[in-house]
Amino acid sequence: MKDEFKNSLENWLSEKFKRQCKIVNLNYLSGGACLENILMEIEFSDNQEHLKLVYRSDTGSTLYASLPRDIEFSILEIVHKRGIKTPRPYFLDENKKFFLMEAIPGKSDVRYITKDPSLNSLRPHLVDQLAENLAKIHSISFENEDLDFLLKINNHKYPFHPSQWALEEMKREVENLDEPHPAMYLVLNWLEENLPQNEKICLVHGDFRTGNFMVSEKGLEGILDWEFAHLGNPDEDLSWFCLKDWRFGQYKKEAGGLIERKTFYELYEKYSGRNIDPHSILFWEVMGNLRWAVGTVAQAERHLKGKTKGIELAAIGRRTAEMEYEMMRLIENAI
Amino acid sequence: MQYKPNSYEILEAISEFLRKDILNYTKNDEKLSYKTLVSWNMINILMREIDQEEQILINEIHKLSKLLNLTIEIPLTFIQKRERLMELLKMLIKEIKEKKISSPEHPYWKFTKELLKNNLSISNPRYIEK
Repeated sequence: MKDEFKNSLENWLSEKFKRQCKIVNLNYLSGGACLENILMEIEFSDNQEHLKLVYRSDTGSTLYASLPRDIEFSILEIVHKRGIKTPRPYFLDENKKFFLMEAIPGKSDVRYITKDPSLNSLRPHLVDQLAENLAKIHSISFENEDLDFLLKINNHKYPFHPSQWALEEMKREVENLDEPHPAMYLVLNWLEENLPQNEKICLVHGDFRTGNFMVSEKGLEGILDWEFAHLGNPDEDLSWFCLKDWRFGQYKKEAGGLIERKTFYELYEKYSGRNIDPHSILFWEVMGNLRWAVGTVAQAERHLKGKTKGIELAAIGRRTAEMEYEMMRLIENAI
Repeated sequence: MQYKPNSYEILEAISEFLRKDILNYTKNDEKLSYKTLVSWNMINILMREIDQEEQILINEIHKLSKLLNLTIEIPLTFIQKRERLMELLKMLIKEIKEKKISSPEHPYWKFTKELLKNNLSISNPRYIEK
């Protein structure tokens, strides 16, 4: 971080806290899909108290569905207020380019969360916490919160049909792809014939998966990365969590690579008071694989267009077929 | 004309270098180690591609042209084969859209699944087993 920017941030923080402070430590973290996260430690001059914060900002290569920082900050405020385990939001920049939030302990490393032996006895408790917190997220709706700002982002009128909207969005995305993907068109047809009915509409995390929450030896420390949050069908989150690509090698533990799907869904049903519809889950899991398949093409494009060059992004383009194969397999197995 | 070693043999040498020398060297740097692993994996994919892709393209052009009731000549060069297959796939997509095909029993579905299996045989041969 350049000195000039660091000084200006220190002045801004001092104003916000109404106490003189300075940044004593900085550490760049791996970001969300396209954001910059910096762990910073500040020291207050009056009593040398230290506080760890995370600075979160755009990098300039945003993905199509990523929320602006001010909207993400508003969501963070709502969910934190509701007692959902997530970092406490501190301050939003007046130009809406960045915000500061609490730095929480733990790791989001997927190998640690799904495979480390030190978490073996903790994992059932972790899954219970995840189910409870996800149910809390899904309890946030128009009935109990002002969510108009989320309707406006997507030009929705309430009520709307989340699966229909998601389908139309995917059709547009697939049509814009350079290369031919017949699997995607076959699946779009299937999705259109299998739209869930009577959909619940609530706050949806949008990227609820292993890798987007922090875990310590005590359990769940916080859910991260609200940049894809939106109004939608809660089954979208439930199925995304179980996508094959988010099991990180633990294929039989369908729920996030942590536990069998049935156990996770039973816990969720207990906390949410809602019975899960397997047809709806199938729809959203197929949709999730399609969405991620399109996402892998977009990631490779970021490299090819020179926006963010790197071998990891380039290589992702060669993984599209995995999600295409999986979405076809899900449909075949359901029939 | 390039002399020996050929592309496959050079990639094989790079793959060995990454595996035997670099991966061990980077093991204390998580990010660098991950990038090296990804690079090594991509080199292996390219080796399989050089070995198998052209024949796969020929087979797919044959099968798809038969499925679409077309008589197609197989082009000479690799790039032309790839372009021909892309044209055929666009015709397939047109049919899928117009006829709203969505059944796993349909020949277009079965062909598309086979297309993906061929793709994965190069990009991730162990994927289907998992």
